[in-house]
Amino acid sequence: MVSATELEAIRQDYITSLDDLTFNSRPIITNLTIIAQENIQAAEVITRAIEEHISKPDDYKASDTRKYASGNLNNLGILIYELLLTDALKCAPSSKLPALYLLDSICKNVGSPYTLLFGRNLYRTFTDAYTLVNDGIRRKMHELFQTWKQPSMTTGQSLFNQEPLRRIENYLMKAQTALIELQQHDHRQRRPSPVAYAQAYHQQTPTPPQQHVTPASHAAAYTHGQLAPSYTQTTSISDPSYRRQDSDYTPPPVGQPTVTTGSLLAEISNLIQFTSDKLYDNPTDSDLNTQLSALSQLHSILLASSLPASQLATIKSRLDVLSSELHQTKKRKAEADLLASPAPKRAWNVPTVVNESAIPVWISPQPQPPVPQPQAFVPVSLSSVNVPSIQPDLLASVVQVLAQPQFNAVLGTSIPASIAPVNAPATAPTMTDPSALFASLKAAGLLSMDATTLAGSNGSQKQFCDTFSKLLSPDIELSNKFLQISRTDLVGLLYDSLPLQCSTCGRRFADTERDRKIRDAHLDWHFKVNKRLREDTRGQSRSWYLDEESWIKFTDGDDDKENGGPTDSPFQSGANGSTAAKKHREDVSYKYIAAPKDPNVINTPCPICKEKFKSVWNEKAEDWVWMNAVKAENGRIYHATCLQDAENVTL
Amino acid sequence: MDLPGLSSAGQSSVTTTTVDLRPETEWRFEVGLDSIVTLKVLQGIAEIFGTELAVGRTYSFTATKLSMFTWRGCRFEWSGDPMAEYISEESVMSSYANLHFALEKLRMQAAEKDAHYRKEVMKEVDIGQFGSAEEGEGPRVLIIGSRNSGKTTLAKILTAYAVKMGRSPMVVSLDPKEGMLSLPGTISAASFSTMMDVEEEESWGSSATTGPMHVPPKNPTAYYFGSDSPTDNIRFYKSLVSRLSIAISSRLAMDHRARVSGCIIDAAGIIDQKVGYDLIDSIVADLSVDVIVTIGNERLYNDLLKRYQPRKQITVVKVQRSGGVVEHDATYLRSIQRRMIKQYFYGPPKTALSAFTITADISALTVYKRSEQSHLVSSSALPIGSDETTALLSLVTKVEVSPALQNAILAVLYASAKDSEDDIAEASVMGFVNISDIDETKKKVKVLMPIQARLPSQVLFMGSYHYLE
Repeated sequence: MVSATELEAIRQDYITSLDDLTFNSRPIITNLTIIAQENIQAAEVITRAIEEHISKPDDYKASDTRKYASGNLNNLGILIYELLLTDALKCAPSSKLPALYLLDSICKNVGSPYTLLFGRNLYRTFTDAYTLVNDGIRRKMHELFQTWKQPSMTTGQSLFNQEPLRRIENYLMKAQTALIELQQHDHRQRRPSPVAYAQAYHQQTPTPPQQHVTPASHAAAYTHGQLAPSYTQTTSISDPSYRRQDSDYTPPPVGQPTVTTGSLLAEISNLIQFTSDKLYDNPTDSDLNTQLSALSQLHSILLASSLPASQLATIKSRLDVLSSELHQTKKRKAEADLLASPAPKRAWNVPTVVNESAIPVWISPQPQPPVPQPQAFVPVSLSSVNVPSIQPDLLASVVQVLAQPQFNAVLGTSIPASIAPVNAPATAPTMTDPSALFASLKAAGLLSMDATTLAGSNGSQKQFCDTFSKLLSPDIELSNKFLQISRTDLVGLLYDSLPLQCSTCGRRFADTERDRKIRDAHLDWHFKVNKRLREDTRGQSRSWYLDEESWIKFTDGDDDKENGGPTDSPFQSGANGSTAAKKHREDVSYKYIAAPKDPNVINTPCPICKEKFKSVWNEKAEDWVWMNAVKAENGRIYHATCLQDAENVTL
Repeated sequence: MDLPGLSSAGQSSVTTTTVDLRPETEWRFEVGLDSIVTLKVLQGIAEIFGTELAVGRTYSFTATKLSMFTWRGCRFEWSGDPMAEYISEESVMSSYANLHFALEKLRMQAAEKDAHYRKEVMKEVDIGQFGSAEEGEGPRVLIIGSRNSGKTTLAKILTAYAVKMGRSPMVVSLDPKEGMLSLPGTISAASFSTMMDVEEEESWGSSATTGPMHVPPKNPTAYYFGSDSPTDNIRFYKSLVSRLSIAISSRLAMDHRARVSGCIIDAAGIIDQKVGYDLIDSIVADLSVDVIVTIGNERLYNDLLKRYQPRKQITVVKVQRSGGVVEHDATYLRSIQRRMIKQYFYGPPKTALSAFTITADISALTVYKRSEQSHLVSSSALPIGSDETTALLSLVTKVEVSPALQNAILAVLYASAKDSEDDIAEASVMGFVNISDIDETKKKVKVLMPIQARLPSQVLFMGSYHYLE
């Protein structure tokens, strides 16, 4: 146990340190994180100190947090939690971000119970801060928030509960929409604020292409509000829209942020496309092969890690040279194609808007109609923060390949060889090390909002189709001739098109919003299964198969949730493994009772499985509850599912 | 003893071999019934029958013959005591992958056409003018070849690639000796939307259990034929295929993902002109097959081409047989089947399952078997209009419970003793039990059950398989 004096010292320390945290200081954040971690065990004694502290009258929030903190939340965790909350709200707007970073650092490094404690009031903390700060900090907050949404590689779960995250996301979306509307309203006046925010925001956000070619068609629907049109694209050169786009092309305004991971990714994707097209013409060209794999590796490195701006700039300068070659070739090809086939012909759902230059992903906003549709965030580069272990030397080797002479020869240009600095710190953040976390936050700061884009609901679908539109080429057909030729270039569809991978089972996911959600659910599923396998001592048996009717009605879920989440063994003992039975069981497992206060009862396990109950905060009930619990007539508390199983057996 | 690998894992110092596999080569290995081979990919992408292995994870294999292929080269290490292992540079993967891409193109076209799929699965809001009310149907591929031509392997590869690309193909196994996701003697179907479990028996994966599993279970529907070869009772086999086809069609009408993904059908290896072609005919008709893939048999290909190509909607193509296909002799097949039965009740080594023995009255059992194949009732031999005759000859026959049932594997059918014989003949399988002891004097029977429950009142169906613990 820790003595009261010591606790008081900790408290004072903390307050002092928080006062120091007026700017983004890594040592202070690290230090405060460590204090939080080391004192996680200091329990009840501290509570009093906390209460004294938060009873300061000047903050109405404090009483709220105190209400939440009542009951069994009596440890130093609460102290720090409340200190932070108050601090985040009290402090000058400029120091809110560091305070939020500290919150983030503690949650990511120490985890429970801080995640639980902060999670409960997260929405308010975040949004209150959001309204007070300036645009630059808002952007950082966006980025910070993106890191929260990413599931941790070790646990498979996002940092906080889904509920506050979802609410924050909605909030951010609404805020953004409102700002854009505002911007449309008076964009000509160019007033500094709040339009400035929208402006700044917009400038880094890929705007929808301004040339909507065939508005009624399905293909045009795809062009609406999509992520950087240059992203992955089989260009239908013969389309007349190509020329229009070409003439309307607007160069990127001066003074814009020039290099971001997102823009690089787009550029690399174009190069990959270009190279594989070339490879298609010369399938035996080994240089092209090397180049292609180097590019795709670079692509995945960028996806999986965050690099400092200087390195991004270095890479970009190499790619620019290659891109200009691409640009030239495309133009020539387009002209040739136009000559060759004057009648415009549309491929099946290939997007008709051709983004003819790879570089300006952030094409100047020129805020004018067409109005973007309500948007969803499509984080691209921020997904990187949790992806572990990119070898720095791998990056170096890839860039080396790109710099090799034959590579230059292929593209008819030369690349300076000064690539060395690139292999420096490709950070692989781990969640146990505060400094690594800090690095990841810092890296997140580098990635600006071009990652966030305005995407219609079919944006991901479009990306998917783009990637796979390769398959629509007419030479791919069900014929003996096609089956006998070697088309290793297509193999990329199995791997490179699905760059995200689950490290546990090897399952792959496309880098689209939709797939990322599926990936998150998948990681979640792994985590739950592992947890359940560890905890479940009851052993398991083979289930009966579904009967014909249930099987016909059964659909596999989009992800693995359907098949063995924590609450839903779809098949129970007995011949009733129907979906109805499963549904019923889900209903049962959502039963809860208010967590008892009597310590004797608290420590009494479920009489059937002998496992103790866990208190969780229930938003609806606004109370601590035991999920999956029922009070039987004999007054004892059972797991609802255990009781149901028992009843089934005895029936 | 029978605990696979325990003996070898305990002794013998573990030597680990690291191998660099060059692009487009494969490492083939065979593992005996009582040994384990573990395998870990260190770098690169490697796949077993199309299913990618996670880098850095250790996989272990028992009683299997597998090949690990790499498109772009990989480094891996293995240890254990395989019966054989070698690297082969000859690979048919390129044509198998092309086959997949050609099928994927058809799936994309089906998806584009299918308004339900786009609305409900892809969550597209604006279907636009292209979205018709029409249902797009993915390719229904029938894989045909002689025994041991690698049909099942090809089916696995096509399934794994389709799943990787986000499809949920309906995999139909019509080879009773395989018993996909079930026991030998069944024909079965399941939609695959999650990864296959390469470590599991025959690497399809496993059917559901009462608890969580590391790899999502698959949910098959199964019909019990009762022996290895369809020729044992063609009439009964065809009837079951028709019944299974009806279930599949109904499912595909409702399951948009699976419909757009199509079917991958693994036929039994019967390709003689007399019975085989007739069987193929009825499968093609029942399951509305539109793509036929023949493996490594030029004559078969040409015959089928002549037979089906004139019908414009059926495409017949051929692929090479892989040199890695291993002949399964009868002994090997029996031991694999025995292992499948064991794992049905007790689970694979990594997920132990509990089975339960219960005692019941003999009178509580209702046991049927399929009727003997009568050459008189071959439908072509019957005069037209002789329905009466066929109706009299039921497909199934009731069996008295006798010591002959000792150690028998019985399928539990979704049919009650009161149902008509016709209903029983087309009932799907609920699970399996094993008669471990029969005491005629006490009129008691001991039954090994997969789960803790009373003896189901359903009809039990006897085949030719026995299992002795």
